[in-house]
Amino acid sequence: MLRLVRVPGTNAPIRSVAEDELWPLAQAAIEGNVVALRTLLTAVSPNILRVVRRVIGASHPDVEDVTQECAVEFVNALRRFRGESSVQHFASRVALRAAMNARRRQRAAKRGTPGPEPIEADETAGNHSPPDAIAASRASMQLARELCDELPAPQAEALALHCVLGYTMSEVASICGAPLETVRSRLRAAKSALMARALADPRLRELVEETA
Amino acid sequence: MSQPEYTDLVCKAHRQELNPDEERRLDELLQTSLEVRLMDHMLSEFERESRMCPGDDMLLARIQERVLGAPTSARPPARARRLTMVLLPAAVLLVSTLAGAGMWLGSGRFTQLTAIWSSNSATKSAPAAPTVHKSRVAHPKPASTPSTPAAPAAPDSAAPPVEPLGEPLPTVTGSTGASTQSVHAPTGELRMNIPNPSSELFARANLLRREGRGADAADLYRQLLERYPRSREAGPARLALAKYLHAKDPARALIEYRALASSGGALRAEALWGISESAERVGERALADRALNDLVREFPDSPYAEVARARISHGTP
Repeated sequence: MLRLVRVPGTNAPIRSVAEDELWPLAQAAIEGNVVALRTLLTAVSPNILRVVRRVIGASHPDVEDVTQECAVEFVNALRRFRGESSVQHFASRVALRAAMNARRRQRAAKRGTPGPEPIEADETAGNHSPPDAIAASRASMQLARELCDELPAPQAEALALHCVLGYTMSEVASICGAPLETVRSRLRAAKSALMARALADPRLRELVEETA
Repeated sequence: MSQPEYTDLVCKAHRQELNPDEERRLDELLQTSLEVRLMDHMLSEFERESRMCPGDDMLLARIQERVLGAPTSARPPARARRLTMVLLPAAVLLVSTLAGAGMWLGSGRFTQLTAIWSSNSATKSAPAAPTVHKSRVAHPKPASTPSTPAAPAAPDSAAPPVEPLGEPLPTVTGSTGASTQSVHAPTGELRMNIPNPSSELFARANLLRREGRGADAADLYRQLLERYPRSREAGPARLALAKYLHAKDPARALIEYRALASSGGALRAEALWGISESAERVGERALADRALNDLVREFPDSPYAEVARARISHGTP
């Protein structure tokens, strides 16, 4: 059965899995072709980097290490890949899981409830927005990240794929290999928790009040 | 359309895939649905957070080399490298302080013993104990024939990466012997190895930048460019400086990016991307467009090329 997939973050047109230009590369890489693996990594690594930046933050000092960790996970997981989704979607899911695990480990190492993510001095310098506007814009990202740390794994994955990486529900279902209704149910619960926190967060008051 | 699928419209909007009816529907929802508004706000912030940056090309190339390289050649994690960066200079400073104290006391015997130790070190094939490292405060003249620095592990380019990410400073012979220069001490009795000054300056600047001291790092990058304009680190230093200036002073950043692009080499793709971004910020749209077209033409397989093509086709930088 053909599935139509899209890759967020690119303007690539709809492709069927059979037309996924990375699928032959993935097959060759699985069979041990090092050149194919190198080309495949070149193709997917920008996507992996995007995922890592969204999960742990672009200014996090461990972006490079976590990206490397995700790339290694992708290469290791490749032998289990059977074309259930596009290669890019597969890479996104592997990178998302590895990045979320890395984030959880770092939070556990800090041994405490972290405060709001600090605003980098470089973000304020030259930025004409006042600091509280910057804080508000980061609050929504921080909410999503914190919920992904705390929710049960299936809900967290669905929330991250939909609200952090921007995949539609049908794409999330395809990526996770789960029925669409199951994904809807998971997202319903996750987004309820997200909304409750947003309503209680003073940094998002303006966003809440602007909605009729 | 059921309630949960409203947020699908947000996902499609951020990819510019909405038809006119869907656009109208989304506009209504953005006024009335907090959930849709929150998700739209969130996705915009995440997109900004994950956009391509100058230097990403080389970062990804480094990662690829490590992932595909032999396990024994894999770089240690950044945390271990940072610890090495702190402990190694501290150890060298301790040794040099002790040696300096001995020399100040005028102990001829100490000097004699140290010279014997140094000469023994030079004749042994296996790495011996570290030689005395002269304090960085004094900058002795380099040898007349300085050795060229060892090529760092930058994968496909001649220039070293922008971020060595805590590589040990080349202050200890035996580990980075090729990156040091030998000088004859004034007394002629004590051999000292001075690290390559441009490499050291570059490493110090990168460490400051990693610590969040961007302004201090920028000062060191400028010093490197002024003192060692033809060094291997000059290109990456100029790129790092331009990146720092990008948010604060895009006009100056543009000058640095253009200088980097004109020098050619492995960093030209990053430089062209930086030109397009900074030129747009200062209102030079034509220059920005030209840089994007050059990028697509000269580096069609670069990660930047994909985004550049999208911007050119949409007419939005």
